Amino acid sequence: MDEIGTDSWDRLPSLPIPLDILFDVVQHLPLQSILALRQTSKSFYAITRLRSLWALLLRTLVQEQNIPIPCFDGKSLDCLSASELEQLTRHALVLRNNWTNPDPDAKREVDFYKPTEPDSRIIFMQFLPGRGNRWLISVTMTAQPRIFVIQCWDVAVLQPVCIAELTHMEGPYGGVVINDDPSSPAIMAMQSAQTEILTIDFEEEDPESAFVPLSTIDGIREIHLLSGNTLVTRRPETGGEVSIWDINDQPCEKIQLVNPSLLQNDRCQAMHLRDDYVVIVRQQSVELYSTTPRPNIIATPGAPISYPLAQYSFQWRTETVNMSEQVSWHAARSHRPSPINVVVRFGSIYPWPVNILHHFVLTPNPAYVPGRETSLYNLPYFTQPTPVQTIGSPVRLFAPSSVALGRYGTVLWLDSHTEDWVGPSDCGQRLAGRMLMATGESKSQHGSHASMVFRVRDDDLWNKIAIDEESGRIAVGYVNGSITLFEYS
Amino acid sequence: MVHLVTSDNVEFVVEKEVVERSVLIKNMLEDVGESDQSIPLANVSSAVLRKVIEYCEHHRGEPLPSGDADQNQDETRKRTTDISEWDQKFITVDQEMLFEIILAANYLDIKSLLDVGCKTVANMIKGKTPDEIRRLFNIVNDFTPEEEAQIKKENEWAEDR
Repeated sequence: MDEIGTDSWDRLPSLPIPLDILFDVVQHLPLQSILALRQTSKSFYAITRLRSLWALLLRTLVQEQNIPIPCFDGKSLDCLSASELEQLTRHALVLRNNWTNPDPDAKREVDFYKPTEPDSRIIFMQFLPGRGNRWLISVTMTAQPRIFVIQCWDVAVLQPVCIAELTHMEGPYGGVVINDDPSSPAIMAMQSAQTEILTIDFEEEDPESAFVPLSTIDGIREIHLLSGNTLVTRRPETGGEVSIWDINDQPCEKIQLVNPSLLQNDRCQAMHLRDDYVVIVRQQSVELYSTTPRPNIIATPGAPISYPLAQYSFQWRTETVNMSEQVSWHAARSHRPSPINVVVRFGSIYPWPVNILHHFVLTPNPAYVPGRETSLYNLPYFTQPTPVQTIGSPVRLFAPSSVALGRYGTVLWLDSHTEDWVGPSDCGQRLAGRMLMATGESKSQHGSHASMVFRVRDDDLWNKIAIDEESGRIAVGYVNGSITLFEYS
Repeated sequence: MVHLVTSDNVEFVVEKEVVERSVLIKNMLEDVGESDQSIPLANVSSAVLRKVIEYCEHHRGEPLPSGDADQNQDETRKRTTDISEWDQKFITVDQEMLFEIILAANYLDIKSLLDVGCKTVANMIKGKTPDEIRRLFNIVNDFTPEEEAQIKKENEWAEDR
């Protein structure tokens, strides 16, 4: 950025007003005008490179608009120079511009995995949050014989490499969950005949020993959420309660969540854990629990039991649910909960789901007092989701579909809507997306269509998608076990 | 009543409530107390002071911006350039007068007037090309053609936003 020396350029501008007032003027300008002003003369060039200006612009144009900053990775803004701040602002805005384009332009596209076994498919894919925004976790399933391969990929290098690999062949497999807290040593949990908490040794040269077990919990359970030191699971049998575990050193069950008014076999679809509460979206209901253990009134074996503080029932059964609290600069500053985006595909009376994605928002309760104990009288959210919009997203019978939802409000999905590109056909897929506005106000996007179409193809080979808004990456996993990475930054 | 004397030796007699929109004069009056002695304003001409007093008359009684307002909200607000209808009409003056009003508002410490002035200048710059801005303010282009081309290239990224 510093190609042009500015040593002799700091003369007073030709405008007859002092520098501090001129700075006031510049602060009122949109970005384009600031950069136009920069090109008028050397003195204006100098003014438009002031550190305080770019600190302000980065905050007002990027952070306050809840736009992710590529390659930022939680650095402190205080130790960045003016040109670094300008660069971050530029990267963030250029990425956002491309990302939200109706036809985003992939700056990089790379296929990087083809399993040697035939009949393998990608069944899980997710980017690790934070940690340099460079790691992708994938799970490949081979049908005959039944093998699961869990892999961690470095996608920041030109040709992505597998840096950790774990093959699971014997016994049951109950999926993996990724820790949403990038600072926690526990990176993921895997369910086999026991629950295994794993970390990754990113420096290890042999991928096969790079997954390192931290601890295990005996027994079979459904694993649902890993957040910092907290693991949320559910007993698999009918009537199975939800359990919250503290996985520090010796994992122990801290509390059980029971809803007496519900059949407990109502499947858990998505969860959101924060401070001292958890929001659980089941197949047909939304529940809010306190996670603070209190002694049981009637002594029962096991961990203390907690009942829902509030709940809401959906009219229809959900097929898939994605849930993510929207990053909000203003909410974070006031330490308040911010709206939670919930993207639902409902089931139907037929064996296939409906051709619509519903966007709901769980709205923060304005009367909630953060820092005070969550209780019946201090609820962080209203449990009745507010419908915001519906998005047309047809899925053909037996065609794969997948939904990913980012913290910054990007929803990404695979469906079978390809008529606009390849004409009527009985196969074909689309990778589409939309920016969700948690408040319900839609900025420059109307109607119920996808606002971004990243890719289409004329067969049905895509199976899973993963999204990382901070680095502008999308990964797509195939039914034949391949992975393609698209980069928009 | 407060007596003000401008750089061109014109005396203005203004109500205290009106003139106290200037933080400079307000502080001065608090320090020395009220007296019939006139306050000299060596940096302000009578033509400009007339405009400034017109502004203060119109906005009399409105709350003064407090110093302890949330700094960040303040800066966010700054990024908009909305000006009220009366202020807009008031500030429709030639460029020389506009800059004189800004300088006077700065000197007299009338934050809201300074704000109106800066927003007006910002609105003049908005949407213009570098060349148009140069012409507007008589800015001399002191770049070499090579430098100019390079800076233009560096800053192309924001153009289609």
